Amino acid sequence: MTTNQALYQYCLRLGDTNLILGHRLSEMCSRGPMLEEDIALTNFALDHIGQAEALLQYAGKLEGKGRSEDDLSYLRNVEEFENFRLVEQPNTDFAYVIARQFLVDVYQCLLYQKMQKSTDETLAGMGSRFLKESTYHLRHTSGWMERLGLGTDESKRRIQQAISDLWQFTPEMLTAKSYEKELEAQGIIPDAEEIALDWLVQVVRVLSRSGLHKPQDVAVPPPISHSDHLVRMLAEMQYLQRTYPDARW
Amino acid sequence: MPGGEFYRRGAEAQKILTLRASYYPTLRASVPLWGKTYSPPRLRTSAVKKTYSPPRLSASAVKKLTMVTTLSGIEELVWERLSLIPDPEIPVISILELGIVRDVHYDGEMLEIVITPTYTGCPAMNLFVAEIKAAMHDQGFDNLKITTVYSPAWTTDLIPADAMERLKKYGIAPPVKGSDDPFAPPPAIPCPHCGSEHTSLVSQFGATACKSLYTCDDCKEPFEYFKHF
Amino acid sequence: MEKLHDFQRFIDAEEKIEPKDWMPDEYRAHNIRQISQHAHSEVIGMQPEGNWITRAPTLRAKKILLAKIQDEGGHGLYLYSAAETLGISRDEMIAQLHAGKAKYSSVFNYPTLNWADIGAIGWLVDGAAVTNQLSLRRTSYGPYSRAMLRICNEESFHQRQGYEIMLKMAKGTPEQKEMAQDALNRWWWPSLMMFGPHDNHSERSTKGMLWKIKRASNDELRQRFIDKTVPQAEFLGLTIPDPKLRWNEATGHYETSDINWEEFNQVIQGNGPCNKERMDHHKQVHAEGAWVREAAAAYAARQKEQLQEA
Ligand SMILES: [Fe+2]
Ligand SMILES: [Fe+2]
Ligand SMILES: [Fe+2]
Repeated sequence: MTTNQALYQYCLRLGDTNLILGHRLSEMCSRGPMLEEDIALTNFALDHIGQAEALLQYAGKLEGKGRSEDDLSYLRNVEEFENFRLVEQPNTDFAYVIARQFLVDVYQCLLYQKMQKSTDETLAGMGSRFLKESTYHLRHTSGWMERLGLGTDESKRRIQQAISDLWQFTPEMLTAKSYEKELEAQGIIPDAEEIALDWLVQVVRVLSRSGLHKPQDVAVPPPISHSDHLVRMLAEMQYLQRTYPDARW
Repeated sequence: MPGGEFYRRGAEAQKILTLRASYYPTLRASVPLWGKTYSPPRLRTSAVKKTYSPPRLSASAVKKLTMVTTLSGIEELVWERLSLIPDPEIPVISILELGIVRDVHYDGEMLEIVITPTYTGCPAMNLFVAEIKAAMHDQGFDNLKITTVYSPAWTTDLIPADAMERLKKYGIAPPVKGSDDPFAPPPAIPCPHCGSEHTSLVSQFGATACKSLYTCDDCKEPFEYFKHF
Repeated sequence: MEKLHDFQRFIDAEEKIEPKDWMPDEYRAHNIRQISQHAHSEVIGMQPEGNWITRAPTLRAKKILLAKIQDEGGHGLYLYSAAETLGISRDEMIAQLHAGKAKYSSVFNYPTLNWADIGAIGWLVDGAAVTNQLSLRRTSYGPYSRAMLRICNEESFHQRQGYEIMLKMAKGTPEQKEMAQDALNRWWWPSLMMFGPHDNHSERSTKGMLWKIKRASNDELRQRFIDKTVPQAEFLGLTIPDPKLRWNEATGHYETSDINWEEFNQVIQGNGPCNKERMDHHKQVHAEGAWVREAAAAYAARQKEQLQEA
C-alpha cells in the first residue's frame, strides 16, 4: 500500500465515523429530554457531518478517482464503510446517546489535538479546526456524565448500564489498523497507542468524578463486523441518491 | 489591461454597492446564483437599517478606483469591496469583520480569495461564497477561485472593537474571552440591553452554533451571546 | 383607570412595554398566549422537517437542514424565555400545550411526503412566517419585538435556502419537477391559512390592534405574502394550485379563491392529518425525558447545597 492509499483509508475511517455518528445524532432531532438538549444534539450532528464532509473530500482527492464526498457517502455499500462500530450503536435512551458521545469526544479531542502537529498540512489544519468543536462537545458530555452519575438512582443505573454496554466497542476505536503504522512513523497521523493511554486516563477521571466505575475489559473483544443497524441506516441515508441516480440535488 | 473592468466600472459599481449594502438580502435579480438566475425574496428592513449604517467606500478608495493600475492596488480594492458584504444572519457586521477572509491574490489573470470556515458545519459558508462570487463577478472578475483553508482556525479574537460594539447595539452580547481550562466556570456575560452582569445561561447552544442563550436577571431580557472561539 | 389611560398613551407614542412595567392583566395574557403559541410552533415544526434529515440527498443539504432545525429550536427557546418575562414558566406553557389549551401553528399538522416538501416549507412556511414577523418587529412588548428583529434575519435565510431546493428540483429531472409541483400543491393552501381567519371585528383582534400587539391585519399580511410569492412560483415554472388566481391591474394585487375554511377549522380543532401524531410525539418524548430532568434537578440541588456548606 502506498502512503496515499493508506492515508485514503485513514481519512475514510475518520470521515465515516463522523458521518455515522452525525447520522445517529440527527435521529435525536425533536427527541431530546428538553429543548436545550434537542438543540445541542442537533448542533453536534451538524459538527460531525461538517467534519465528515471535509475528511471525505480529502479522501476523494487522495484516492484520485474523482469521487466527491457525496459519492463516498451515498454510493458505497455497507462493507466499504470504515466507521468505528461504537458510533453505529442505536440511541437506546438518552444515557446511551451521552455515553457514546462522551467516549468518542474524549478520543476525538486527543486525536485532533495531536493531529494539529501532522506533517500533512491538510490534516493539521483540520485538526486545529475540529478541536475547537470537539472541546465544546466534551465539555457538554462530561457535564452530563456527572449530572447523570450523581443525579438520581435511576439516572446512575442508566448511565452505568450504557457505559458498560458500550465498553466492548472501545478497543476497536483505540487500536490502529495495520496500514496506519507507516503513517504514524512518518508523523502524518498521531500515535494510536499514545492516544489510547491518554484516553483511558481521561475517561476514568470523569467516571470516578461521576461516581461511576470503569467496566471490566472484555477478555476477547467481539469480532469486528458492522451491525444490522448500519445496513438500515445506509438504506435510509442513501435512499434518494440510489432511487434517482440521474437527479442532481 | 488586466483588471480593466474594475477600473472602468468603478464609479458605477460604487453606486450599486452603496445601494445594495443597505439592503438585506443583498443579492440582485441579475446575479447568477446556484447556476441559474434567481430573483430573491425581497424584504424591506427599515428597522435593520436604523440600527446599522453600512460602511461606505472611503474617499481615498473612491479616488483609487479611478487610478488603480497595480496588482496590489487591485487587491486592496477587492478587500474594500469584501468589507461591504454583511453576514447574512447578523447583518450588522461584515464578513470581513467576522474574519473569514484570509487572503486575496491577483496575478493579473486570476483572482484567488482564501477563506476559512467559522466552524466546520457552518451552512452560512455557502452563502458567504455565493455573495463573494456575486460581488466579484460584478467587478468583472470572472476568473475567480475560492480556496478554503482550515488553519489557523477561525477565532473571534480578531473581530474589531467597533464591530463588537455594533453587535451589542443589535442586542447580541459580544464574545468574552474566558479561562482556557475547560472545567473553569464560564465568564460573566453582561446584558447587551441594560449592561447588568447578573445574567444566567439558559442554553450553551443557541439558534446557531456560534451563539448561546442567556437571560438577564435584572431587566429580564433574554439575549444571545456570541460564543468565544 | 388612570394607569390604563397612561398605558394607552405610552403605547400610542410607540414606546415599548418592558417586563417590569405595569400592564393590564389582559395585555399580559394576550402576549403570553401569542408568544407561547409562537414558541410551540417553532418546536413542533422541528418534527416534520426532522423527518428528512436522515434522508437528505447530499451532505451539504443535510448540513443546511440540520442548521435550520437548530435555528428553529433556538427560536423556540428564545421565545419561551421571552414569554417567561411575563411571569409564566416553561413547564406551565408545555402543560398548556399538552392539555390543548395552548395552540401551535396548524401548518405543522401536515405531513412531509417527499424531499421537495423541505424546500416548500422553507420557501412558503418560513416565507409566511417572515411576512408576519416583519410586522411583529413593531409589536409593543419590548422583549418580543427585539426577538422578532433578530429571528427575522434567520427566517429569511431559511426562505432563501428553501427556495434554492425548489429551484434545483423544478429545474431538475421530470421526476424532481413532479415532486416540486406536488409539494407546492400540498403546501400552498396551508401556508395561506397560517395568517389566520379573515379579520372580523372580534374583541380580541380589536384589543390586539389597540395595544399594538398586532400591527397588521391577517388579510393584509396574507395579501402581502401572495403578491410576493406568486412571481417566485412563476420563476420556478410551477403552477399555483388555484384556478382563480389572477393579477388585478387596478388594485395592483393578485386575486385568489377563498380558503377552504372548513378544512381550516377542522385542522385547528385537532382533526388535521397529523395533529394527533405531533402531540403524541411531543408528550411521549417529554414523558421519556422526565428521568433526565429529574436527575439534572437533583444534581443542581446538591451542588447548591455543597456550595452553601463551603
Ligand atoms: Fe439586562
Ligand atoms: Fe423559526
Ligand atoms: Fe425558520
